Amino acid sequence: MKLLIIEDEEKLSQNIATYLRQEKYVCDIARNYHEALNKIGGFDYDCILLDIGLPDGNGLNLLRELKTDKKTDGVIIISARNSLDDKISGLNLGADDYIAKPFHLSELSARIAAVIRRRHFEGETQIVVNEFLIDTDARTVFINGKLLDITKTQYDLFLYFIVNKNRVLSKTAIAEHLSGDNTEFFDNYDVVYAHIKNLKKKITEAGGNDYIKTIYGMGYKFETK
Amino acid sequence: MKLTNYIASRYIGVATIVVLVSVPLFYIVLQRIIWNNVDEDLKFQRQWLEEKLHNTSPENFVSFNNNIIIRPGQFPQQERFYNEKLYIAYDNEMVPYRVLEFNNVTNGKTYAIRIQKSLMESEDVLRAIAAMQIGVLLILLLFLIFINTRLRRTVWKPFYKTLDALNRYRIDRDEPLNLSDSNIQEIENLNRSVNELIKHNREIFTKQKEFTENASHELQTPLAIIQSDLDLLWQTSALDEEQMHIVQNLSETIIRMSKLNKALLLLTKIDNRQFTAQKEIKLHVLIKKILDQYEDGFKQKNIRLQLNMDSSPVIYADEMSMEILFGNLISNAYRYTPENGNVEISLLSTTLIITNSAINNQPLEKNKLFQRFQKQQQSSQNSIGVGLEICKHICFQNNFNIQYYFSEGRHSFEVTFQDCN
Repeated sequence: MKLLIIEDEEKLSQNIATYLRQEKYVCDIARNYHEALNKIGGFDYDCILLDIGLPDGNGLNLLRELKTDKKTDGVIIISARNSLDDKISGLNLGADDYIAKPFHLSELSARIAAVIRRRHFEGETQIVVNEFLIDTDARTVFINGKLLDITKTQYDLFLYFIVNKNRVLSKTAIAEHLSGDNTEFFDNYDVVYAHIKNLKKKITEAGGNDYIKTIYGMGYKFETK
Repeated sequence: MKLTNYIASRYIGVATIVVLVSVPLFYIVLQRIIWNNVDEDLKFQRQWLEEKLHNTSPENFVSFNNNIIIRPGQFPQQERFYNEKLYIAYDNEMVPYRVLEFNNVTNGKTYAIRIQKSLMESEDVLRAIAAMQIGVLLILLLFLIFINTRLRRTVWKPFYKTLDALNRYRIDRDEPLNLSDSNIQEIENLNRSVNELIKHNREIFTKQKEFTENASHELQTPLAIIQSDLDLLWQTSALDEEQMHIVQNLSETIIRMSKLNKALLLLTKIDNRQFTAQKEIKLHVLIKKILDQYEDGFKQKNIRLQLNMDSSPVIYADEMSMEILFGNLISNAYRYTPENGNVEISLLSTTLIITNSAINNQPLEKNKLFQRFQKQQQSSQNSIGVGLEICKHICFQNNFNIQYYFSEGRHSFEVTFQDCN
């Protein structure tokens, strides 16, 4: 999978690339509008991370450029402006998702995975990890072929773990992921804790292995060998 | 007191004093002048009479209208002028006279002589003059009042217009203050100064607003860098519990800062009236939608939720800002209700009341309640202190009314709105 990171803050683009390369993505970095334009013209990417606040040109213009070229690359907008207008115009111009700074790299990774899944329909809507089969289209999980009865929130949580498997996820990252736009909500982590506890219980009851490890009560990790 | 009235009252006061003092003074002075003239005339008559008496017997002297009376005898004073009122049968009235009495020695005999002159005509003239003077002054006064009223209506009109415009002017509204030109120089100057002042203030106000906006935006990128650094640090396997704890704290602080930025941006946006997508919103649908997000949370804290949705009011407002307003209030109710407590939401035709059981049976401090960064004693550690201010601003922009009250150990927030049904 090939990604293009269009971001003028070098430290941030480096960090994103470092994290995503560990997920076996191939990452290109463009620091400005022209570099980005050249790379988009020369290569095909599975997903493009686009900071719309570029110093030498509005990122939204880049998005327009992409869409008029009929490129099928998935695009996630990264914005420092948590502005609804940017979000709406970005999505209207054909961006697949929008993420506001600051964000957790695990969250970004989950969003990228979702965009790529949506872009490659055939056969890719199913993820298989050990005894688990996740149908991202129907939003269901099977353990050894048996349907796991979980709530919508628990499904979101499980998918988040699967996409970021073998990664330590902090409880703040999980809380933010679950609360979505409503960031005011989870400022106590009891809800996160309760959801994880219930999820683990349902998995073991259904005969699955408990891969979710707690790390000092501050983070969680879906560990598969 | 209006300036014009103040000036007018001073004018009229002074004019009245001038009238009251000057008319009697004028009368008296004029009277003395007349008497002096008459006295001169009487003296002249005396001279003429004394010459006449050398060759005429005083006993046979006859004068017109009995104005000269000669009798043998002597007055105590050699010469005396005085006023006297005499009855004149012809006119059947008392008439004022100026009288000169003197003694005269003719042919060795002493005579007491009296010459008198009627003051009737001159008194009449005097009165007429005084009356005319009063009349003129009264007319002057009337004109003064008239001019004053007219001035207020015409000359002061632009001034009152300016004043009115200033009264209605709010710097946080986007309407410019355009004061029209006037042909009165002072008003023109005033308007120009006020226009300049307002323009300058608006620039400063806008700059300050933009500063808040830009600062909030610019801070998000460094925060994103720190966050990504922490995420990478988090993945390094060597972290022990203590180090992880520090990273966790850092991460939470970043979230808090970022939330603060977002809240400030939101406030700026509300004040800039950028939430203008007005449409009809069914409140009971909106409230249920917000409550869905809190389902897990309520369950977790074992909070009993009581919903009284007897009415289904429809409001005409921006959906996004309404979600923020009611979302904040419900979020507060969720956060500040103790475990096993209860939250009650009542939707009436023009009111929404959100009531929750209090943690320590203490009312919130009302003067701090809707103020920025004013945290209450019972505020949570993670509270930013702008949520209720945001609510207040949204209510203000939508002409809603928001109130807080505390009774029987329960906090209540009440939002009053217009039902469009």
